[in-house]
Amino acid sequence: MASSSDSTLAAANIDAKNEKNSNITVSGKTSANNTKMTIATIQKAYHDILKDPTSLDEAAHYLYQSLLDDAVVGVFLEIHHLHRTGNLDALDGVPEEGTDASYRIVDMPNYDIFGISSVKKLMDCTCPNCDRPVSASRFAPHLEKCMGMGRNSSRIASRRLATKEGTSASSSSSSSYLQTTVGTDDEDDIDWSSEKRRKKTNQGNRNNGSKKNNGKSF
Amino acid sequence: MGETGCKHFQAYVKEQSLDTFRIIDAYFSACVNKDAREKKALSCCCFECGSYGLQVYACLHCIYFGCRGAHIATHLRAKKHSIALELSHGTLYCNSCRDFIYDTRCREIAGVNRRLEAKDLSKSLSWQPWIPTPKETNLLLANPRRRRIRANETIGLRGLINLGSTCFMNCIVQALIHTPLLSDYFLSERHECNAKSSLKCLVCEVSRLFQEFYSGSRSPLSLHRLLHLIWNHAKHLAGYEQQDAHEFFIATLDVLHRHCIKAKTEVESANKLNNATSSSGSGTGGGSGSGGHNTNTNTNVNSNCPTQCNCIIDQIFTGMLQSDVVCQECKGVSTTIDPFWDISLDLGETAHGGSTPKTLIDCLERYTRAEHLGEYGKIKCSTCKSYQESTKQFSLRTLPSVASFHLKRFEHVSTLIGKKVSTFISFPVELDMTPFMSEKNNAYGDFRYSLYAVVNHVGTIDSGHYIAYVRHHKDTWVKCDDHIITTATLKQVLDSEGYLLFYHKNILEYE
Ligand SMILES: [Zn+2]
Ligand SMILES: [Zn+2]
Ligand SMILES: [Zn+2]
Ligand SMILES: [Zn+2]
Ligand SMILES: [Zn+2]
Ligand SMILES: [Zn+2]
Ligand SMILES: [Zn+2]
Repeated sequence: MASSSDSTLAAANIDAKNEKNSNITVSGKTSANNTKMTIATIQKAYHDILKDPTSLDEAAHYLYQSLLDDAVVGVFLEIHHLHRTGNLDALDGVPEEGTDASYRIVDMPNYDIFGISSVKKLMDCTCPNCDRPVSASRFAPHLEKCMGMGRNSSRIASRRLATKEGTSASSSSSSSYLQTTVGTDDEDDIDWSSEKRRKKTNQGNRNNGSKKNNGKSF
Repeated sequence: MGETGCKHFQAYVKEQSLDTFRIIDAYFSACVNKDAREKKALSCCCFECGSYGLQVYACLHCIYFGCRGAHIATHLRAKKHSIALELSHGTLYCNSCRDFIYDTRCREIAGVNRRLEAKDLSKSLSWQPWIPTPKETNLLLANPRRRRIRANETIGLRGLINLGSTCFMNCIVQALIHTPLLSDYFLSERHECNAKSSLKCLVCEVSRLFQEFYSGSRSPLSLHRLLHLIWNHAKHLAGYEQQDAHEFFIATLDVLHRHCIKAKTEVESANKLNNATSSSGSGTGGGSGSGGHNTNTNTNVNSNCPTQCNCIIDQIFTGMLQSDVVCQECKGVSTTIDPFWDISLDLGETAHGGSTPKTLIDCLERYTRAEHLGEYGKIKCSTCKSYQESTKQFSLRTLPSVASFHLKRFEHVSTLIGKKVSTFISFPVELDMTPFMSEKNNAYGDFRYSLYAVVNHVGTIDSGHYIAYVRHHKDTWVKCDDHIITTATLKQVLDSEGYLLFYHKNILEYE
């Protein structure tokens, strides 16, 4: 697609040409034409078009037709190229068979979108840390203990470490944008598997986890 | 080995080289600069009829322009010139073959010229169709089955099992999976893995997740491997306290970003060196150089932009936040620009009175309002050489393709006591960010966004649950409540409380 400034100039040209054609009747002698054409005449023609509603209408129509024509040629060339490289057939392929109805969205009470009645499933998964089977619904608390990140000192240590990294990272090193915080290590008895949600202490110091400067904290 | 046109073109190149093509393409097809545009405007018309239509061809053997059809064909036949260039799209035409021809080297030259044009007009590159490599063509032919994605079908949806209070993770994963640019990236398998085992690579795991979501399976998925990988790479997160969906979102972006830059450390350090030596960062290669840099001599611009990472996460989620500190004594402006992944918005009353925000727009207006730093917040002014009272104002220098907003619903009265702000904040489906930009009159900027995911926290601060609404297709919304996926109406989405709001840019610039 030609740039918009091209099109503008092209629009100006039609008028410039019309003007010109009244003076110069012979076409094809373009070298003669071009010496007459200057940027100034194009600009003048352009402003004349803008002033007169009829010619503006004509110009807009011409522009639209040209752009449409150009876009159609673009699609044609793309397909032509795909055809020449054999990619047209390659991209098309054949549609998957016999699955048309089975993926249809279901919108009924007591059924989920797949048409399955919404009962909670019992599933097992294999813990990637210890390779033991664990009930999926209890995987997160298991993993926390399994990785040794429960309420023990190694976790606190790792958090302290992470905090150090976090502060150095926040001073515009690009290695990490994450800012972390120290909790007060209040390892009280909140069971993490219950739905308790507890936010960090000294929240005020952090910029809500995002990169720098988000929290408008001066 | 690519395409080589036709035998006539090969003979032409042997005799004439590609120099004529390079120049004609630069001046009359790509129009790489003002001079070229003027030359094209003045002289690029049919030598036969004088027409200036868009469909003009240039002879590559002599100086001749002719319009599509009889006029150029007559010339080529009469002069026994075979190769011409179609100027509107820069396509080669061979009159001996009577067909368009394609040559890889010419395409490369044309690519360079198009980039010069885009840079000269400070606009984005035009769209170019995907051209599969011969290897990709063979893969496509060997695997001809195509799965069509339709709006009334469930392909792309999967429930996610709750692994024990992991609804925060499920919601963020649902939002990420439904991020169009991310799914484009992963479904086209653009991640090139450097990890020893793809089982240890988080990016590969996300890649597998996308495959699972689009596999057509209807059973819920367990994210246990993902949780393990994220905890492994962000150890400080493990434990009950990371049940905050926003924190998990940022941590996930961070871990993914770090995985990506690990592979590109060499490139990064090279970039850093370049950035350090060039004093004025004139936006080369970054793609978002919006022209019109600040030239006001009174302002003290210290744009200490850190090296912009080019990983897929940063390409999609990173914007630049501008902060202008104005010295009240000399009115000197000091500008800093910092990257951000999301914007956290205050909901409560402001310190200086004023009404509480009721809409997302209110929140953004408040966020970008100039604020007095007061007597106790004096900042050293480099012009006055002393500490002065100042105002500070945020604005958005550049916006990411995905704008995500975090409504700060969790307030912390003291270190241990928190409260949840449940005020209703309305948010729009279509959002125009133009009023919040640093440069509002950027002619090429279009800052309109569409809502595509909302993460909600239901319940109280102590016992709650996260659910997500995601846009499955345009006008088709679904509710993701762990393993239960159900249809949702737009009204349900907009009436929901809203904790994290995800908006996708409507018009994306190429490159
Ligand atoms: Zn385990
Ligand atoms: Zn003609
Ligand atoms: Zn010729
Ligand atoms: Zn040929
Ligand atoms: Zn990988
Ligand atoms: Zn990155
Ligand atoms: Zn000052």
